[in-house]
Amino acid sequence: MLHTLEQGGANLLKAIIQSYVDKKIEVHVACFELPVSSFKDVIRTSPDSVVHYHDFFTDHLGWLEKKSDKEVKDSLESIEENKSDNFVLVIDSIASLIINFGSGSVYKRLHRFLMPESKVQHVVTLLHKDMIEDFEFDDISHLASTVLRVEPPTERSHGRPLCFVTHKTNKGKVLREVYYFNSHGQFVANLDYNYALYIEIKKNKVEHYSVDACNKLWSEPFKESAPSKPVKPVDVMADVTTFRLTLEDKEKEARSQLVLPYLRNEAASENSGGGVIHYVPDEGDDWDEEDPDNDLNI
Amino acid sequence: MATDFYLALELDKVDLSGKVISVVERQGGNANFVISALMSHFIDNKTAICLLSLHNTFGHYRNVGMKFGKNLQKLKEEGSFKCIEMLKTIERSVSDRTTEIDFLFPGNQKDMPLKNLFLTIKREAELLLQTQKSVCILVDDLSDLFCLGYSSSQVLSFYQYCRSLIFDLKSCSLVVLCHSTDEDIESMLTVTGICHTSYLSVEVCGLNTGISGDVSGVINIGKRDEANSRIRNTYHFKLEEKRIRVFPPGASPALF
Repeated sequence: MLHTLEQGGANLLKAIIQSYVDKKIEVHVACFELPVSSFKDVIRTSPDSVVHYHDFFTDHLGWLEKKSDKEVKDSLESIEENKSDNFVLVIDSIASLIINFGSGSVYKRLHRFLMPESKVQHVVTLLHKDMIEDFEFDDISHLASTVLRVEPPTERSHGRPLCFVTHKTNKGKVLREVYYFNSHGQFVANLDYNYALYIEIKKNKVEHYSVDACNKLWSEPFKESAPSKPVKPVDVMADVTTFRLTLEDKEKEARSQLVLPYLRNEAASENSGGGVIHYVPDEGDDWDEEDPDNDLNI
Repeated sequence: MATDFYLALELDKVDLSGKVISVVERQGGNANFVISALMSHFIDNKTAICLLSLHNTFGHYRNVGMKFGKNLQKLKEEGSFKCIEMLKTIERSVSDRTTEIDFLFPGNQKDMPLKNLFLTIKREAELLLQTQKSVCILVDDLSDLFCLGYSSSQVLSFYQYCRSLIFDLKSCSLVVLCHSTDEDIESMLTVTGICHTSYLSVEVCGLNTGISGDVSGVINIGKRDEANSRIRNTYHFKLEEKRIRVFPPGASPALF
């Protein structure tokens, strides 16, 4: 899952963890950037759900003599040696790992998790796109079967952040969808969104998903907004005065047909016997057909 | 004094315990006033300060504090202000080599001075919390660690330890000043890493158009909303002798 400074993806990551927890899948959360409490406080668990938290945040270099640097590396290995057959590994920030251990080492480690003999069913990671080099990003995204890229809200997304989903199927087909998502208040993740996303992607299809009743977390496919219809202007002076200050279409037409007496009118000039004054505008004259007071907000 | 600035930051609306405020100094900007204003805010709210000064001596902060009406010397004697002066520590490591935070001669373990520096902050913060209700750890300026030969990963590790400390101690907040330029990738990476994990980021930069007598520079204040989107507000500011004026762009008091 890719995110940037402008749009964070931590809420969505917590939602994905919750979706696995609700499905009674064993989850191991490796906390490198956020404290364990930031996940523990929001993930809802039941007696039969299994979530293990691994704290690499508090003392990742062993300065507090709780763990040494080597122990941290060993702990990552030890996650894989779990007794459970299938479990999901969540890494809260892979950028921290890359900065501390180097991209090559992280790539090898992730690749090992994805080998057929590995007990890891899925690896879900958050990646700060603006903290790594492009080639490091290419390496990691090459390993991923599904990439979720979160982007800040745009004018047409109704103020909600966007999630661009790119999924590579086993047959090599690439699916692309755009969603927007939201969360209200404390993140009590209703993971229907992620269920839908997960299940539909397994079927090689991403379909429309509607909003849940609680509106805790919801999503729907991103659609371009229809162009807005021109709104009939409201006469703001209607309630202020009893005079009518605007003209109807008929009246406007009648006004346009009115021939002003000082303009040259061939038919009238032939019939009349007396002298008349004609006004003929020259090239430099500022002749304006419109009402000169039209722009005033009377 | 800095009422406009506090309103722009909305510091009165939130409890800062366990939160990080990052102050970023971009090219052409000077964010010292942000540190002074935040220091003044924390003192007004009866929060003790543990200052890691990598850029100035205590005398500098004492003189600036006088302008804001705060006697830091008195607070220091009362035990609600602690200053860890790295400039003096470095001087000691050259003259008599009696300091445990020896940046100049670290020996084989290059991380050791950073570790000792963190442990010193931890010790001082814990001591302050024994007598005070809450503590703010203030780092001015984190980017100076680059000048001592540290890489961005080492600086970010040090920052992460400071973050873990404020989660451990409770009633503790962290303010970090760092500076960056577009050309320096190391500093850019560090600043991005810090901003990713901070609750509030204050970015100070100069005017794109040059220097003005009516506007000292630009402040960008970034905050995260419920959906984790970053909301950025841009203000102009004018520094006066004992006052910070903050106003929307184009609304300088000099124009009216």
